[in-house]
Amino acid sequence: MNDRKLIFPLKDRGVLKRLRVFQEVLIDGVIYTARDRVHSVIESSGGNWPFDLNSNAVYYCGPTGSSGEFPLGSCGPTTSSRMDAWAPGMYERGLAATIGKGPRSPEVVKAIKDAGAVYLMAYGGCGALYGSRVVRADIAAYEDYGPQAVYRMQVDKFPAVVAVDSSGNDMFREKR
Amino acid sequence: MVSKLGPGLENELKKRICSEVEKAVYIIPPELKKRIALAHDNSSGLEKKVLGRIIENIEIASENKISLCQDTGVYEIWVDIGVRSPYNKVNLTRVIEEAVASAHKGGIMRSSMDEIKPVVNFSFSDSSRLDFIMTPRGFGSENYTFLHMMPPESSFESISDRIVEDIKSAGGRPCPPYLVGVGIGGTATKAVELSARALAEMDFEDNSRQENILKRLNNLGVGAGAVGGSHTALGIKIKKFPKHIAGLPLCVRAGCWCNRTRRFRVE
Repeated sequence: MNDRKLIFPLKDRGVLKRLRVFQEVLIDGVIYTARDRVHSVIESSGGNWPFDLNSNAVYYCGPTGSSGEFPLGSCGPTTSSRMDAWAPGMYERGLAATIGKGPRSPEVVKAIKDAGAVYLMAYGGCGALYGSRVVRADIAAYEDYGPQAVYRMQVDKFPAVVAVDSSGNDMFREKR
Repeated sequence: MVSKLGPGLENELKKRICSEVEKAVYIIPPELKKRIALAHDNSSGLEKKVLGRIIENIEIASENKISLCQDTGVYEIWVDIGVRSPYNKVNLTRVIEEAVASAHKGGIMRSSMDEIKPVVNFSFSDSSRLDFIMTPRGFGSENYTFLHMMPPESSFESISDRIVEDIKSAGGRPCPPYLVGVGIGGTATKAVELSARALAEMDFEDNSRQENILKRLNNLGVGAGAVGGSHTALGIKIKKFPKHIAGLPLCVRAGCWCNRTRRFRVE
């Protein structure tokens, strides 16, 4: 279970094939936040995301504002299963990864396997830890949605665990 | 006792509440912090890693005054009003609502509601002070609140089964290791309120009935972060109200590991 660096946007999707469930990865680079409302709005109107799905990761997160030295305040993961209705379609259209907390539906796990993609679990309730790993943040879209806006987050050593790998192994299912 | 209460005193109270509301989201109760450290010492593998990240998070939050979790929730607040307190003439509902709203403008909190408003419960006693208990309820765990109208002669065994089933059905979503709040008796409304109050008063009391349920919860194998392990729950508290002869309301509430609570007194 070696720590492994994962850089988004991906230069080569081949790296996803080498990730295995239960492995902790440290994410560098850029990830995009989106939660319920943005999913609902974008997916019900054609699925035009403000970034390339094929190389990017969607982070289920609604941050607090900044109150100190970091660009954002607390920005841990929200419950992924609320986004299960939209995830299969997005994986089908090439989405490389989603990041959130808790298990996914069998439909999402299948879509991940079919797409050779991954689902990463961020540590639930650890918003301050994640806030300290954000190097830069700006709003990429839907500014008027407040904490539900799409943030472009540049992160450094952002820890997450591979919860569903590209072969469809599901960390949560294996343990129940 | 006759007290003149100027706007100065009211503003002071508002400031105090506002500051406590903010502290509640970045400082974890010391006893809970100890329990998490103990769980970390007694775990292994990926579960240990999860608990290590949680401990790291607790340190970063308190050092930098950043909310432990970005979901700063809906504030549930209980105030016991001393009838001899100078504040008993104050419109506490308004003062508390304004204090909580103002805390949300300070930058530490997230505006998670369409309009910021705390849930406030009042009681009265013969004292000369105000006693506050507050807990921000994040919805990652609040969504796993279960109400059952049980038969009045339900055994403790069947109540225990219900609690274990409910927590199991949460499927690892509400950020384990959990704290579990249980309300029994009264009306449906009362049982629900008691379950929240139980979480706010989580004291890890040594009680064999509660310990038994805790053991069963830990045997579920969900583990910290739901990655599998023996630390599914850190504590459980059951609060009771007298029951009606024809029914037994039972409310089971999952609290995340980050069971933020804060108590303070205004003399």
